[in-house]
Amino acid sequence: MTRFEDELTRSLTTQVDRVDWPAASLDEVKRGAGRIQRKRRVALAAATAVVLAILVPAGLVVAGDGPLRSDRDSGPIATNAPPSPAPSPDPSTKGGLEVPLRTDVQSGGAPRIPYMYDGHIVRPDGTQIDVGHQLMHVTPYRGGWMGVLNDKGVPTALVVDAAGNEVQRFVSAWALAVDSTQTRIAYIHRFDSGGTLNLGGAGQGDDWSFAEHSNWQPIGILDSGTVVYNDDSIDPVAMLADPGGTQPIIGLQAAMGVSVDGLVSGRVSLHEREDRACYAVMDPATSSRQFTTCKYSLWKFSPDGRYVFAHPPIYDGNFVGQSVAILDARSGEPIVQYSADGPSGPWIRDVAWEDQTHLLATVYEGTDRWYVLRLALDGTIENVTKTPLPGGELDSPVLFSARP
Amino acid sequence: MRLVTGVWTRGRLEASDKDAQFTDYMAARRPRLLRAAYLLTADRHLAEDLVQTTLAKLYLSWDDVRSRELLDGYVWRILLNQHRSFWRKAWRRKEISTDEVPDHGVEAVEPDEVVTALWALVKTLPNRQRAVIVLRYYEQLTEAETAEILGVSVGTVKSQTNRALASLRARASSFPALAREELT
Repeated sequence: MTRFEDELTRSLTTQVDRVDWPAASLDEVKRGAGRIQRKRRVALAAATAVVLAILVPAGLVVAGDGPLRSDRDSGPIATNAPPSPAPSPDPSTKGGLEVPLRTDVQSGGAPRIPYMYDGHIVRPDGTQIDVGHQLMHVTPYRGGWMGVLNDKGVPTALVVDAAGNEVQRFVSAWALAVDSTQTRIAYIHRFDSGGTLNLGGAGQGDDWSFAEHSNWQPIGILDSGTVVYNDDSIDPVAMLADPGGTQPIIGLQAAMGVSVDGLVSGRVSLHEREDRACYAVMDPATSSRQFTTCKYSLWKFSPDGRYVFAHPPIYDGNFVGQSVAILDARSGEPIVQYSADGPSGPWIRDVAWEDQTHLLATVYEGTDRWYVLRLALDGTIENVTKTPLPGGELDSPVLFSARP
Repeated sequence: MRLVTGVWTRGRLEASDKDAQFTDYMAARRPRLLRAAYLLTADRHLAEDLVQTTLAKLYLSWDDVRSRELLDGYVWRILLNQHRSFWRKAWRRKEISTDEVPDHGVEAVEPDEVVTALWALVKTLPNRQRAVIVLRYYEQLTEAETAEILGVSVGTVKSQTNRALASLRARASSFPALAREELT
Protein backbone atom coordinates (compact mmCIF):
# COMPACT_ATOMS: atom_id res chain seq x y z
CA MET A 1 0.00 0.00 0.00
CA THR A 2 1.11 3.56 -0.63
CA ARG A 3 1.45 6.10 2.15
CA PHE A 4 -1.76 7.72 0.96
CA GLU A 5 -3.58 4.40 1.29
CA ASP A 6 -2.06 3.82 4.73
CA GLU A 7 -3.30 7.23 5.86
CA LEU A 8 -6.69 6.48 4.38
CA THR A 9 -6.96 3.30 6.45
CA ARG A 10 -5.84 5.21 9.54
CA SER A 11 -8.42 7.90 8.91
CA LEU A 12 -11.26 5.39 8.58
CA THR A 13 -10.17 3.45 11.65
CA THR A 14 -9.81 6.61 13.72
CA GLN A 15 -13.27 7.80 12.76
CA VAL A 16 -15.02 4.65 13.90
CA ASP A 17 -12.96 4.40 17.07
CA ARG A 18 -14.36 7.77 18.13
CA VAL A 19 -17.93 6.52 18.31
CA ASP A 20 -19.50 4.52 21.13
CA TRP A 21 -22.39 2.31 20.20
CA PRO A 22 -25.33 1.35 22.37
CA ALA A 23 -26.15 -2.31 22.90
CA ALA A 24 -29.03 -3.93 21.06
CA SER A 25 -31.19 -6.80 22.14
CA LEU A 26 -32.51 -9.75 20.22
CA ASP A 27 -36.03 -8.56 21.02
CA GLU A 28 -35.41 -5.33 19.11
CA VAL A 29 -34.17 -7.30 16.12
CA LYS A 30 -37.23 -9.53 16.26
CA ARG A 31 -39.55 -6.53 16.37
CA GLY A 32 -37.80 -5.12 13.32
CA ALA A 33 -38.15 -8.48 11.57
CA GLY A 34 -41.86 -8.48 12.31
CA ARG A 35 -42.30 -5.06 10.76
CA ILE A 36 -40.46 -6.17 7.62
CA GLN A 37 -42.63 -9.27 7.32
CA ARG A 38 -45.78 -7.19 7.53
CA LYS A 39 -44.52 -4.80 4.85
CA ARG A 40 -43.64 -7.71 2.59
CA ARG A 41 -47.09 -9.20 2.94
CA VAL A 42 -48.69 -5.88 2.03
CA ALA A 43 -46.37 -5.46 -0.96
CA LEU A 44 -47.09 -8.99 -2.17
CA ALA A 45 -50.81 -8.42 -1.95
CA ALA A 46 -50.54 -5.17 -3.88
CA ALA A 47 -48.40 -6.76 -6.60
CA THR A 48 -50.86 -9.61 -7.01
CA ALA A 49 -53.71 -7.16 -7.35
CA VAL A 50 -51.85 -5.29 -10.09
CA VAL A 51 -51.22 -8.49 -12.01
CA LEU A 52 -54.86 -9.41 -11.93
CA ALA A 53 -56.07 -5.96 -12.85
CA ILE A 54 -54.08 -5.15 -15.98
CA LEU A 55 -52.88 -6.78 -19.13
CA VAL A 56 -49.28 -5.85 -19.77
CA PRO A 57 -47.89 -5.91 -23.32
CA ALA A 58 -45.19 -8.49 -23.90
CA GLY A 59 -41.83 -7.36 -22.63
CA LEU A 60 -43.04 -4.08 -21.26
CA VAL A 61 -43.62 -2.52 -17.87
CA VAL A 62 -42.86 -5.24 -15.38
CA ALA A 63 -43.20 -3.90 -11.87
CA GLY A 64 -41.59 -5.17 -8.69
CA ASP A 65 -40.29 -8.71 -8.71
CA GLY A 66 -41.55 -9.35 -12.20
CA PRO A 67 -44.21 -12.06 -12.16
CA LEU A 68 -44.83 -11.32 -15.86
CA ARG A 69 -41.32 -12.10 -17.08
CA SER A 70 -42.16 -15.33 -18.88
CA ASP A 71 -42.86 -13.48 -22.12
CA ARG A 72 -39.11 -13.43 -22.69
CA ASP A 73 -39.18 -17.05 -23.87
CA SER A 74 -42.03 -16.63 -26.29
CA GLY A 75 -39.91 -16.16 -29.41
CA PRO A 76 -37.94 -18.76 -31.38
CA ILE A 77 -34.79 -19.64 -29.46
CA ALA A 78 -31.77 -20.39 -31.58
CA THR A 79 -30.08 -22.45 -28.90
CA ASN A 80 -28.37 -24.78 -31.35
CA ALA A 81 -27.86 -22.30 -34.13
CA PRO A 82 -24.70 -22.79 -36.17
CA PRO A 83 -22.00 -20.26 -35.29
CA SER A 84 -22.70 -18.05 -38.26
CA PRO A 85 -24.50 -17.13 -40.30
CA ALA A 86 -27.59 -17.85 -38.27
CA PRO A 87 -30.67 -19.23 -40.01
CA SER A 88 -32.53 -16.54 -41.93
CA PRO A 89 -34.63 -15.01 -39.21
CA ASP A 90 -37.86 -13.14 -39.47
CA PRO A 91 -37.47 -9.92 -37.51
CA SER A 92 -41.20 -9.56 -37.29
CA THR A 93 -41.43 -12.73 -35.19
CA LYS A 94 -43.27 -11.94 -31.96
CA GLY A 95 -40.94 -11.72 -29.00
CA GLY A 96 -37.91 -11.41 -31.22
CA LEU A 97 -35.09 -13.74 -32.12
CA GLU A 98 -32.89 -15.14 -29.41
CA VAL A 99 -29.37 -15.76 -30.60
CA PRO A 100 -26.40 -17.09 -28.61
CA LEU A 101 -23.67 -14.51 -28.17
CA ARG A 102 -20.42 -16.21 -29.06
CA THR A 103 -17.07 -15.39 -30.54
CA ASP A 104 -16.39 -18.53 -32.63
CA VAL A 105 -18.23 -17.16 -35.64
CA GLN A 106 -17.24 -16.34 -39.20
CA SER A 107 -15.02 -13.38 -39.91
CA GLY A 108 -16.44 -10.13 -41.18
CA GLY A 109 -15.06 -7.03 -42.81
CA ALA A 110 -13.42 -4.14 -41.00
CA PRO A 111 -15.54 -1.73 -38.95
CA ARG A 112 -17.25 0.94 -41.01
CA ILE A 113 -16.91 3.56 -38.30
CA PRO A 114 -13.71 5.04 -36.85
CA TYR A 115 -12.29 3.46 -33.75
CA MET A 116 -9.31 3.73 -31.43
CA TYR A 117 -6.72 1.00 -31.23
CA ASP A 118 -3.32 1.18 -29.59
CA GLY A 119 -3.25 4.97 -29.52
CA HIS A 120 -4.32 5.30 -33.17
CA ILE A 121 -7.54 6.50 -34.72
CA VAL A 122 -8.35 3.93 -37.40
CA ARG A 123 -10.65 5.23 -40.11
CA PRO A 124 -12.98 3.05 -42.18
CA ASP A 125 -10.61 3.26 -45.15
CA GLY A 126 -7.88 1.76 -43.00
CA THR A 127 -5.75 4.88 -42.63
CA GLN A 128 -4.49 5.53 -39.14
CA ILE A 129 -3.68 8.64 -37.16
CA ASP A 130 -1.25 8.29 -34.29
CA VAL A 131 -2.49 10.41 -31.37
CA GLY A 132 -0.28 8.81 -28.77
CA HIS A 133 -3.11 8.08 -26.34
CA GLN A 134 -6.03 5.68 -26.21
CA LEU A 135 -8.94 8.11 -26.32
CA MET A 136 -12.58 7.52 -25.55
CA HIS A 137 -15.42 8.92 -27.66
CA VAL A 138 -13.08 10.18 -30.35
CA THR A 139 -14.92 12.30 -32.92
CA PRO A 140 -14.14 14.81 -35.71
CA TYR A 141 -13.70 18.34 -34.38
CA ARG A 142 -12.38 21.56 -35.92
CA GLY A 143 -10.61 19.84 -38.78
CA GLY A 144 -9.04 17.31 -36.45
CA TRP A 145 -10.37 15.14 -33.69
CA MET A 146 -11.46 15.39 -30.08
CA GLY A 147 -11.52 12.56 -27.57
CA VAL A 148 -11.57 11.99 -23.84
CA LEU A 149 -8.40 10.76 -22.19
CA ASN A 150 -8.25 9.04 -18.82
CA ASP A 151 -5.46 11.07 -17.23
CA LYS A 152 -4.82 9.35 -13.89
CA GLY A 153 -8.52 9.11 -13.21
CA VAL A 154 -9.35 12.61 -14.41
CA PRO A 155 -11.46 12.87 -17.59
CA THR A 156 -9.42 15.04 -19.92
CA ALA A 157 -10.44 16.24 -23.37
CA LEU A 158 -7.70 16.06 -25.97
CA VAL A 159 -7.98 17.97 -29.24
CA VAL A 160 -5.62 16.94 -32.02
CA ASP A 161 -5.18 18.23 -35.57
CA ALA A 162 -5.70 16.13 -38.68
CA ALA A 163 -2.21 14.71 -38.34
CA GLY A 164 -2.72 13.73 -34.72
CA ASN A 165 -0.68 16.54 -33.16
CA GLU A 166 -1.98 17.78 -29.84
CA VAL A 167 -3.70 21.15 -30.09
CA GLN A 168 -5.35 21.48 -26.70
CA ARG A 169 -6.17 19.50 -23.59
CA PHE A 170 -8.41 20.40 -20.67
CA VAL A 171 -10.31 18.77 -17.83
CA SER A 172 -13.65 17.56 -19.12
CA ALA A 173 -16.32 14.92 -18.39
CA TRP A 174 -16.30 11.23 -19.23
CA ALA A 175 -18.86 11.76 -21.96
CA LEU A 176 -19.19 13.91 -25.01
CA ALA A 177 -22.07 13.91 -27.47
CA VAL A 178 -22.33 14.06 -31.24
CA ASP A 179 -25.30 15.18 -33.36
CA SER A 180 -26.89 13.10 -36.13
CA THR A 181 -24.79 14.75 -38.83
CA GLN A 182 -21.65 14.13 -36.77
CA THR A 183 -20.57 17.71 -37.35
CA ARG A 184 -21.39 19.19 -33.96
CA ILE A 185 -20.36 17.97 -30.53
CA ALA A 186 -21.30 18.86 -26.99
CA TYR A 187 -18.56 18.66 -24.41
CA ILE A 188 -17.66 19.88 -20.93
CA HIS A 189 -14.74 22.23 -20.28
CA ARG A 190 -13.84 22.48 -16.60
CA PHE A 191 -11.67 25.12 -14.95
CA ASP A 192 -10.47 25.62 -11.39
CA SER A 193 -13.44 27.86 -10.71
CA GLY A 194 -16.14 25.97 -12.56
CA GLY A 195 -16.95 24.69 -16.01
CA THR A 196 -19.00 25.13 -19.13
CA LEU A 197 -21.13 22.97 -21.37
CA ASN A 198 -20.17 23.79 -24.96
CA LEU A 199 -21.69 23.09 -28.33
CA GLY A 200 -18.97 23.10 -30.93
CA GLY A 201 -18.48 22.01 -34.48
CA ALA A 202 -16.06 21.11 -37.16
CA GLY A 203 -15.48 24.83 -37.79
CA GLN A 204 -13.30 27.16 -35.77
CA GLY A 205 -15.61 28.46 -33.08
CA ASP A 206 -18.11 27.05 -30.66
CA ASP A 207 -21.76 27.89 -31.18
CA TRP A 208 -22.38 28.59 -27.53
CA SER A 209 -21.38 27.65 -24.02
CA PHE A 210 -23.29 27.53 -20.79
CA ALA A 211 -22.06 27.52 -17.19
CA GLU A 212 -21.96 24.03 -15.69
CA HIS A 213 -23.63 24.13 -12.30
CA SER A 214 -22.74 20.64 -11.10
CA ASN A 215 -21.57 17.33 -12.52
CA TRP A 216 -22.93 17.31 -16.08
CA GLN A 217 -22.49 14.62 -18.74
CA PRO A 218 -23.49 15.43 -22.35
CA ILE A 219 -25.56 12.64 -23.92
CA GLY A 220 -26.88 13.86 -27.25
CA ILE A 221 -27.82 16.78 -29.48
CA LEU A 222 -31.27 17.30 -30.93
CA ASP A 223 -31.55 18.60 -34.48
CA SER A 224 -32.60 21.96 -33.06
CA GLY A 225 -29.17 22.22 -31.47
CA THR A 226 -30.52 21.63 -28.00
CA VAL A 227 -28.14 19.52 -25.92
CA VAL A 228 -29.42 16.65 -23.81
CA TYR A 229 -27.28 16.11 -20.75
CA ASN A 230 -27.43 14.37 -17.40
CA ASP A 231 -27.04 16.27 -14.18
CA ASP A 232 -25.40 13.68 -11.94
CA SER A 233 -25.62 15.72 -8.77
CA ILE A 234 -27.67 14.90 -5.70
CA ASP A 235 -30.94 14.14 -7.47
CA PRO A 236 -30.06 12.83 -10.93
CA VAL A 237 -32.11 14.28 -13.75
CA ALA A 238 -31.88 14.53 -17.52
CA MET A 239 -31.83 18.09 -18.81
CA LEU A 240 -32.06 20.14 -21.96
CA ALA A 241 -29.75 23.07 -22.65
CA ASP A 242 -29.74 25.73 -25.35
CA PRO A 243 -28.53 29.33 -25.37
CA GLY A 244 -31.75 30.36 -23.66
CA GLY A 245 -31.16 28.24 -20.58
CA THR A 246 -31.69 24.77 -19.18
CA GLN A 247 -34.76 22.81 -18.21
CA PRO A 248 -35.39 19.30 -16.91
CA ILE A 249 -36.93 16.54 -18.97
CA ILE A 250 -39.80 15.77 -16.65
CA GLY A 251 -39.79 12.15 -15.53
CA LEU A 252 -36.41 11.22 -16.97
CA GLN A 253 -33.70 10.55 -14.40
CA ALA A 254 -30.87 9.83 -16.82
CA ALA A 255 -30.78 10.09 -20.60
CA MET A 256 -28.92 7.42 -22.55
CA GLY A 257 -29.50 8.24 -26.20
CA VAL A 258 -31.04 10.77 -28.58
CA SER A 259 -32.66 9.84 -31.89
CA VAL A 260 -32.52 11.63 -35.21
CA ASP A 261 -36.25 12.29 -34.93
CA GLY A 262 -36.02 13.91 -31.55
CA LEU A 263 -36.77 11.11 -29.07
CA VAL A 264 -34.74 10.38 -25.96
CA SER A 265 -34.07 7.04 -24.27
CA GLY A 266 -33.23 6.76 -20.60
CA ARG A 267 -34.00 5.72 -17.05
CA VAL A 268 -37.31 6.76 -15.55
CA SER A 269 -37.23 4.98 -12.19
CA LEU A 270 -35.14 3.02 -9.73
CA HIS A 271 -36.58 0.17 -7.70
CA GLU A 272 -35.18 -0.01 -4.22
CA ARG A 273 -35.40 -3.76 -3.94
CA GLU A 274 -33.12 -5.84 -6.10
CA ASP A 275 -31.40 -2.90 -7.73
CA ARG A 276 -33.81 -2.74 -10.63
CA ALA A 277 -34.64 0.14 -12.88
CA CYS A 278 -37.16 1.01 -15.57
CA TYR A 279 -36.46 2.79 -18.82
CA ALA A 280 -38.47 4.56 -21.48
CA VAL A 281 -38.29 6.18 -24.87
CA MET A 282 -39.92 9.59 -24.66
CA ASP A 283 -40.43 12.90 -26.35
CA PRO A 284 -38.32 15.32 -24.30
CA ALA A 285 -40.55 18.27 -25.10
CA THR A 286 -43.75 16.74 -23.77
CA SER A 287 -42.39 13.86 -21.63
CA SER A 288 -44.88 11.58 -23.36
CA ARG A 289 -43.59 8.02 -23.49
CA GLN A 290 -43.43 5.79 -26.55
CA PHE A 291 -43.01 2.78 -24.25
CA THR A 292 -41.62 1.83 -20.87
CA THR A 293 -39.71 -1.32 -19.94
CA CYS A 294 -38.27 -2.72 -16.74
CA LYS A 295 -36.73 -5.65 -18.57
CA TYR A 296 -34.05 -3.69 -20.42
CA SER A 297 -31.88 -0.65 -19.99
CA LEU A 298 -32.25 1.43 -23.15
CA TRP A 299 -29.21 2.92 -24.85
CA LYS A 300 -28.49 4.44 -28.26
CA PHE A 301 -30.83 4.74 -31.24
CA SER A 302 -29.98 3.46 -34.70
CA PRO A 303 -28.92 6.23 -37.13
CA ASP A 304 -32.41 6.28 -38.66
CA GLY A 305 -34.09 6.29 -35.25
CA ARG A 306 -36.08 3.11 -35.90
CA TYR A 307 -34.33 0.94 -33.32
CA VAL A 308 -32.71 1.27 -29.94
CA PHE A 309 -30.25 -1.19 -28.45
CA ALA A 310 -30.70 -2.43 -24.92
CA HIS A 311 -28.92 -4.32 -22.17
CA PRO A 312 -30.03 -5.91 -18.90
CA PRO A 313 -31.24 -3.26 -16.47
CA ILE A 314 -28.39 -3.76 -14.01
CA TYR A 315 -25.03 -2.26 -14.90
CA ASP A 316 -21.95 -4.03 -13.57
CA GLY A 317 -19.93 -0.83 -13.56
CA ASN A 318 -17.43 -2.14 -16.06
CA PHE A 319 -19.41 -4.36 -18.38
CA VAL A 320 -22.92 -3.64 -19.56
CA GLY A 321 -23.77 -7.29 -19.17
CA GLN A 322 -23.86 -10.46 -21.18
CA SER A 323 -26.64 -9.63 -23.57
CA VAL A 324 -27.65 -6.96 -26.01
CA ALA A 325 -31.05 -6.62 -27.65
CA ILE A 326 -32.32 -4.48 -30.50
CA LEU A 327 -35.79 -3.12 -29.87
CA ASP A 328 -38.28 -1.26 -32.01
CA ALA A 329 -37.86 2.33 -30.83
CA ARG A 330 -41.57 3.06 -31.06
CA SER A 331 -43.12 -0.02 -29.51
CA GLY A 332 -40.30 -1.56 -27.44
CA GLU A 333 -40.91 -4.86 -29.17
CA PRO A 334 -37.67 -6.90 -29.23
CA ILE A 335 -36.39 -7.66 -32.73
CA VAL A 336 -33.36 -9.71 -31.73
CA GLN A 337 -31.50 -10.49 -28.53
CA TYR A 338 -27.95 -11.80 -28.34
CA SER A 339 -27.21 -13.51 -25.01
CA ALA A 340 -24.12 -15.28 -23.67
CA ASP A 341 -24.48 -18.66 -22.07
CA GLY A 342 -23.30 -18.21 -18.48
CA PRO A 343 -20.58 -16.15 -16.80
CA SER A 344 -17.78 -17.90 -18.68
CA GLY A 345 -19.21 -16.59 -21.96
CA PRO A 346 -18.56 -13.19 -23.49
CA TRP A 347 -19.06 -9.98 -21.49
CA ILE A 348 -20.00 -6.87 -23.39
CA ARG A 349 -18.13 -3.64 -22.76
CA ASP A 350 -18.98 -1.19 -25.50
CA VAL A 351 -21.63 -1.16 -28.21
CA ALA A 352 -22.09 1.28 -31.11
CA TRP A 353 -24.30 1.44 -34.17
CA GLU A 354 -22.28 0.80 -37.30
CA ASP A 355 -25.20 1.54 -39.63
CA GLN A 356 -29.00 1.19 -39.62
CA THR A 357 -28.92 -2.58 -39.19
CA HIS A 358 -25.63 -3.49 -37.50
CA LEU A 359 -24.09 -3.04 -34.09
CA LEU A 360 -20.44 -3.36 -33.21
CA ALA A 361 -19.63 -4.69 -29.77
CA THR A 362 -16.39 -5.15 -27.87
CA VAL A 363 -16.56 -8.29 -25.77
CA TYR A 364 -14.25 -9.86 -23.22
CA GLU A 365 -13.97 -13.59 -22.89
CA GLY A 366 -11.77 -15.99 -20.99
CA THR A 367 -8.47 -14.61 -19.81
CA ASP A 368 -7.48 -11.26 -21.22
CA ARG A 369 -8.97 -11.80 -24.67
CA TRP A 370 -11.04 -9.23 -26.47
CA TYR A 371 -13.09 -9.45 -29.65
CA VAL A 372 -15.09 -7.07 -31.77
CA LEU A 373 -18.34 -8.58 -33.00
CA ARG A 374 -20.75 -7.32 -35.61
CA LEU A 375 -24.32 -8.07 -34.58
CA ALA A 376 -27.00 -7.72 -37.22
CA LEU A 377 -30.67 -7.00 -36.98
CA ASP A 378 -31.33 -10.33 -38.72
CA GLY A 379 -29.51 -12.34 -36.05
CA THR A 380 -26.20 -12.93 -37.79
CA ILE A 381 -22.89 -12.48 -36.03
CA GLU A 382 -19.47 -11.77 -37.47
CA ASN A 383 -16.15 -11.58 -35.74
CA VAL A 384 -14.40 -8.46 -36.90
CA THR A 385 -11.13 -9.27 -35.12
CA LYS A 386 -8.80 -11.61 -36.94
CA THR A 387 -7.29 -12.97 -33.73
CA PRO A 388 -8.21 -12.25 -30.12
CA LEU A 389 -6.84 -8.91 -28.97
CA PRO A 390 -4.86 -9.00 -25.73
CA GLY A 391 -6.06 -6.78 -22.90
CA GLY A 392 -7.02 -6.95 -19.24
CA GLU A 393 -10.59 -6.93 -18.09
CA LEU A 394 -10.47 -3.16 -17.64
CA ASP A 395 -8.59 -2.45 -20.82
CA SER A 396 -10.71 -2.88 -23.89
CA PRO A 397 -8.17 -2.41 -26.68
CA VAL A 398 -10.79 -1.03 -29.06
CA LEU A 399 -12.98 2.01 -28.47
CA PHE A 400 -15.53 3.14 -31.04
CA SER A 401 -15.90 6.72 -32.15
CA ALA A 402 -18.69 8.73 -30.63
CA ARG A 403 -22.05 8.18 -32.27
CA PRO A 404 -25.28 10.13 -31.92
CA MET B 1 -25.47 -13.25 -7.72
CA ARG B 2 -26.92 -15.12 -4.80
CA LEU B 3 -24.64 -15.94 -1.93
CA VAL B 4 -27.21 -17.82 0.02
CA THR B 5 -29.51 -20.57 -1.10
CA GLY B 6 -30.96 -23.76 0.28
CA VAL B 7 -31.30 -24.60 3.95
CA TRP B 8 -29.13 -24.33 6.98
CA THR B 9 -29.46 -27.91 8.14
CA ARG B 10 -31.95 -30.69 7.64
CA GLY B 11 -35.20 -29.00 8.56
CA ARG B 12 -35.85 -25.83 10.48
CA LEU B 13 -34.04 -24.95 13.64
CA GLU B 14 -35.87 -24.96 16.92
CA ALA B 15 -36.73 -21.39 17.93
CA SER B 16 -34.50 -21.47 20.98
CA ASP B 17 -31.56 -22.80 18.98
CA LYS B 18 -32.12 -20.19 16.34
CA ASP B 19 -32.22 -17.37 18.90
CA ALA B 20 -29.12 -18.63 20.65
CA GLN B 21 -27.18 -18.93 17.43
CA PHE B 22 -28.36 -15.54 16.22
CA THR B 23 -27.51 -13.86 19.52
CA ASP B 24 -23.99 -15.24 19.35
CA TYR B 25 -23.59 -14.06 15.79
CA MET B 26 -25.00 -10.64 16.57
CA ALA B 27 -22.70 -10.18 19.56
CA ALA B 28 -19.70 -11.08 17.46
CA ARG B 29 -20.49 -9.11 14.33
CA ARG B 30 -22.68 -6.15 15.26
CA PRO B 31 -19.87 -3.84 16.44
CA ARG B 32 -17.98 -4.25 13.19
CA LEU B 33 -21.14 -3.80 11.14
CA LEU B 34 -21.90 -0.60 13.03
CA ARG B 35 -18.46 0.79 12.38
CA ALA B 36 -18.64 -0.03 8.68
CA ALA B 37 -22.16 1.38 8.46
CA TYR B 38 -20.93 4.57 10.06
CA LEU B 39 -18.21 4.88 7.43
CA LEU B 40 -20.82 4.43 4.71
CA THR B 41 -23.34 6.88 6.12
CA ALA B 42 -21.23 9.28 8.20
CA ASP B 43 -24.23 9.45 10.51
CA ARG B 44 -24.40 7.58 13.78
CA HIS B 45 -28.16 7.26 13.95
CA LEU B 46 -28.47 6.27 10.31
CA ALA B 47 -25.76 3.67 10.85
CA GLU B 48 -27.67 2.20 13.79
CA ASP B 49 -30.88 2.05 11.73
CA LEU B 50 -29.02 0.46 8.88
CA VAL B 51 -27.51 -2.28 11.01
CA GLN B 52 -30.76 -2.86 12.87
CA THR B 53 -32.61 -3.39 9.60
CA THR B 54 -29.80 -5.57 8.28
CA LEU B 55 -29.93 -7.79 11.35
CA ALA B 56 -33.72 -8.00 11.17
CA LYS B 57 -33.52 -9.17 7.57
CA LEU B 58 -30.81 -11.64 8.49
CA TYR B 59 -32.99 -12.98 11.29
CA LEU B 60 -35.82 -13.58 8.83
CA SER B 61 -33.58 -15.58 6.52
CA TRP B 62 -31.51 -17.28 9.23
CA ASP B 63 -33.09 -20.66 8.58
CA ASP B 64 -32.25 -20.44 4.91
CA VAL B 65 -28.53 -19.90 5.24
CA ARG B 66 -26.73 -22.91 3.91
CA SER B 67 -23.33 -22.36 5.40
CA ARG B 68 -21.94 -20.39 8.30
CA GLU B 69 -18.99 -19.45 6.09
CA LEU B 70 -21.30 -17.55 3.76
CA LEU B 71 -22.96 -15.53 6.49
CA ASP B 72 -20.57 -12.61 6.53
CA GLY B 73 -20.80 -12.09 2.80
CA TYR B 74 -24.56 -12.37 2.98
CA VAL B 75 -24.78 -9.80 5.75
CA TRP B 76 -22.61 -7.43 3.78
CA ARG B 77 -24.88 -7.79 0.80
CA ILE B 78 -27.92 -6.94 2.92
CA LEU B 79 -26.15 -3.99 4.50
CA LEU B 80 -24.99 -2.49 1.21
CA ASN B 81 -28.34 -3.01 -0.52
CA GLN B 82 -30.08 -1.45 2.45
CA HIS B 83 -27.67 1.47 2.35
CA ARG B 84 -28.53 2.09 -1.30
CA SER B 85 -32.17 1.95 -0.40
CA PHE B 86 -31.72 4.47 2.42
CA TRP B 87 -29.80 6.74 0.10
CA ARG B 88 -32.49 6.70 -2.57
CA LYS B 89 -35.15 7.51 -0.01
CA ALA B 90 -32.99 10.35 1.23
CA TRP B 91 -32.68 11.64 -2.32
CA ARG B 92 -36.39 11.85 -2.56
CA ARG B 93 -36.64 13.59 0.76
CA LYS B 94 -33.63 15.74 -0.16
CA GLU B 95 -32.29 15.40 3.35
CA ILE B 96 -28.79 14.36 2.41
CA SER B 97 -26.26 16.28 0.40
CA THR B 98 -23.15 14.62 -0.97
CA ASP B 99 -21.00 17.51 0.14
CA GLU B 100 -22.32 17.98 3.63
CA VAL B 101 -23.39 14.77 5.29
CA PRO B 102 -24.75 15.09 8.83
CA ASP B 103 -22.18 13.89 11.29
CA HIS B 104 -23.96 13.39 14.58
CA GLY B 105 -22.53 11.52 17.47
CA VAL B 106 -18.81 11.99 16.93
CA GLU B 107 -17.17 13.15 20.11
CA ALA B 108 -14.91 16.14 19.86
CA VAL B 109 -11.38 14.86 20.41
CA GLU B 110 -7.94 16.19 19.74
CA PRO B 111 -8.10 16.63 16.00
CA ASP B 112 -5.66 14.88 13.77
CA GLU B 113 -5.71 17.13 10.74
CA VAL B 114 -4.77 14.45 8.26
CA VAL B 115 -7.42 12.07 9.59
CA THR B 116 -10.04 14.80 9.59
CA ALA B 117 -9.20 16.01 6.12
CA LEU B 118 -9.20 12.54 4.58
CA TRP B 119 -12.48 11.70 6.25
CA ALA B 120 -14.00 14.90 4.88
CA LEU B 121 -12.93 13.82 1.42
CA VAL B 122 -14.17 10.26 1.80
CA LYS B 123 -17.60 11.60 2.72
CA THR B 124 -17.87 13.29 -0.68
CA LEU B 125 -17.29 10.10 -2.67
CA PRO B 126 -20.22 8.60 -4.57
CA ASN B 127 -21.83 5.71 -2.71
CA ARG B 128 -20.41 2.97 -4.85
CA GLN B 129 -16.85 4.24 -4.60
CA ARG B 130 -17.25 4.81 -0.91
CA ALA B 131 -18.40 1.24 -0.39
CA VAL B 132 -15.37 -0.05 -2.25
CA ILE B 133 -13.06 2.15 -0.17
CA VAL B 134 -14.62 0.97 3.09
CA LEU B 135 -14.40 -2.69 2.11
CA ARG B 136 -10.85 -2.44 0.79
CA TYR B 137 -9.25 -0.04 3.28
CA TYR B 138 -11.25 -0.51 6.45
CA GLU B 139 -12.44 -4.09 6.19
CA GLN B 140 -9.16 -4.96 4.45
CA LEU B 141 -10.90 -7.30 2.04
CA THR B 142 -9.20 -8.45 -1.12
CA GLU B 143 -10.38 -7.28 -4.52
CA ALA B 144 -11.96 -10.68 -5.11
CA GLU B 145 -13.80 -10.63 -1.77
CA THR B 146 -14.99 -7.09 -2.41
CA ALA B 147 -16.20 -8.05 -5.88
CA GLU B 148 -18.10 -11.03 -4.46
CA ILE B 149 -19.88 -8.90 -1.89
CA LEU B 150 -20.75 -6.10 -4.29
CA GLY B 151 -21.78 -8.51 -7.02
CA VAL B 152 -19.46 -7.00 -9.59
CA SER B 153 -16.35 -8.10 -11.44
CA VAL B 154 -12.86 -7.80 -9.96
CA GLY B 155 -12.06 -5.36 -12.74
CA THR B 156 -14.88 -3.13 -11.60
CA VAL B 157 -13.54 -3.15 -8.05
CA LYS B 158 -10.15 -2.11 -9.42
CA SER B 159 -11.60 0.67 -11.52
CA GLN B 160 -13.84 1.95 -8.74
CA THR B 161 -10.93 1.89 -6.30
CA ASN B 162 -8.66 3.71 -8.73
CA ARG B 163 -11.29 6.32 -9.48
CA ALA B 164 -11.95 6.88 -5.80
CA LEU B 165 -8.27 7.22 -4.96
CA ALA B 166 -7.72 9.54 -7.92
CA SER B 167 -10.65 11.65 -6.83
CA LEU B 168 -9.38 11.83 -3.24
CA ARG B 169 -5.88 12.77 -4.36
CA ALA B 170 -7.15 15.36 -6.81
CA ARG B 171 -9.04 17.17 -4.10
CA ALA B 172 -6.46 16.64 -1.36
CA SER B 173 -4.50 19.69 -2.46
CA SER B 174 -7.25 21.94 -1.16
CA PHE B 175 -6.53 20.71 2.39
CA PRO B 176 -3.39 22.33 3.81
CA ALA B 177 -2.82 19.42 6.21
CA LEU B 178 -2.69 16.95 3.34
CA ALA B 179 -0.58 19.25 1.22
CA ARG B 180 1.89 19.70 4.07
CA GLU B 181 2.16 15.95 4.46
CA GLU B 182 2.57 15.66 0.68
CA LEU B 183 -0.52 13.45 0.51
CA THR B 184 -1.68 14.89 -2.79
